Amino acid sequence: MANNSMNDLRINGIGSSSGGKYDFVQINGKGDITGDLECRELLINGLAHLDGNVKADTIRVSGKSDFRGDVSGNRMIIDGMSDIGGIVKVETVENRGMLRIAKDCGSEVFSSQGGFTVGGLLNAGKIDISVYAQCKAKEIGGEDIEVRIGGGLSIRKLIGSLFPGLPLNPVLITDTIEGDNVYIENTTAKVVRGQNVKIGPGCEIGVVEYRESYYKDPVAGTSVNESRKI
Amino acid sequence: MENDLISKKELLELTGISYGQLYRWKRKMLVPEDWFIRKSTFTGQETFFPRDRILARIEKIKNMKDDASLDELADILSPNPSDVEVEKDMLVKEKVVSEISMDIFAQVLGILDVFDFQKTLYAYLLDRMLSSGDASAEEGKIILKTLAESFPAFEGKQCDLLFVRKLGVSFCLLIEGQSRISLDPGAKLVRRISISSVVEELKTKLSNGGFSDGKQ
Repeated sequence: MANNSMNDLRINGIGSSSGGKYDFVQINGKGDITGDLECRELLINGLAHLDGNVKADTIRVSGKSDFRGDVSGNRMIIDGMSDIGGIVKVETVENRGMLRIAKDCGSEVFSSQGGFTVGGLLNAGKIDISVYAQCKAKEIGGEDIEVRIGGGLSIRKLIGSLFPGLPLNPVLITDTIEGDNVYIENTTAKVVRGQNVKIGPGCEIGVVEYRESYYKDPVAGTSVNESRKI
Repeated sequence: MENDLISKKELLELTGISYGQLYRWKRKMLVPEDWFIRKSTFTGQETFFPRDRILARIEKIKNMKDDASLDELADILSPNPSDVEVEKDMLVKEKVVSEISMDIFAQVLGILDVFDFQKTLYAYLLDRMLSSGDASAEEGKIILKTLAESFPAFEGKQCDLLFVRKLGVSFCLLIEGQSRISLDPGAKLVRRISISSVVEELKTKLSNGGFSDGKQ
């Protein structure tokens, strides 16, 4: 992809493009890309609508972006807000804002300090979630899964004052979590299955099924209806 | 035909792999998406797999993963033809396709010196039908024509080749993999071949069988 003969695409202000193959694509302001886009780096500062599928080595969104198609690449950093209508296949996803994926997300590393929604399966080798705002996924599967409550109460209060309506004690909501090593806090799940399962504070779990070890924090406010070794 | 399912839990127990491994293989597309069958059970939603195929597949991955990287494995296992090109003489010499099948192939699809993967697949399937005695030379031509015309439309999907005979009249059809079919009692399903598994077989053959000099 990194071809020197490839051109750059820059939109400063308001503009649109039909997509294509580029080296570096930068949108400062408001940009619409109406077709498929393939590039080495995609940088969005401002607002962008991308109607087609996007394939980029690095994707960085510091603003708001709306991807209608599938997104694939090596690294994606969301520092603002991003809506993705299709499937995400990106090696490393770093979310520090609000990420919404309508379908599945497959990554090697998925880390989130913010809030997210995954409409399908969130599948990653390493899943590292700090829950700052509500996080939602239909299913979560992977090798190492760690969910922690993000920051202190003061930071969450600050975020809450910036975005009224956000809960002060946000949770991750999902149907199932399946992984090798699972540690979760502030999580509501119907089923948690894994090799080694640790349930921290603030969890509401239907069933835990573990194969090697299981630990439940005795703290009040964490409930596990049923746990069994399989 | 897909009544024999295995639950995810049972599968992991039986094969000794972990959740993490299964998800990794799914991510790398070593296990096709449509093998994950969701069903509601009294404990909530559970995932099931077609028993024989998933067990065979996992066995295969376990055996091969020491020699090949997961990405290479994914390439071998994917239903999409790979971008291999092989010389005709090589195919005959390595006994992938017999000389007789090659002649029939030439009559239908023209004389080729270099076979891309798809053509190799057609010739290989033809050879299989002929050598097993399931189809005659004339019938083989029908199969070839059907493949050449319709198989590309199945790109990326599982696909089965069916060969049916009734009262001496034979025909062949391509259907999406694993679908159920019913025939009238007078008809006989001579052969059903899962093309996807043949693709796998052929890819393994081509990548192991000393074809390196024929590859591009």
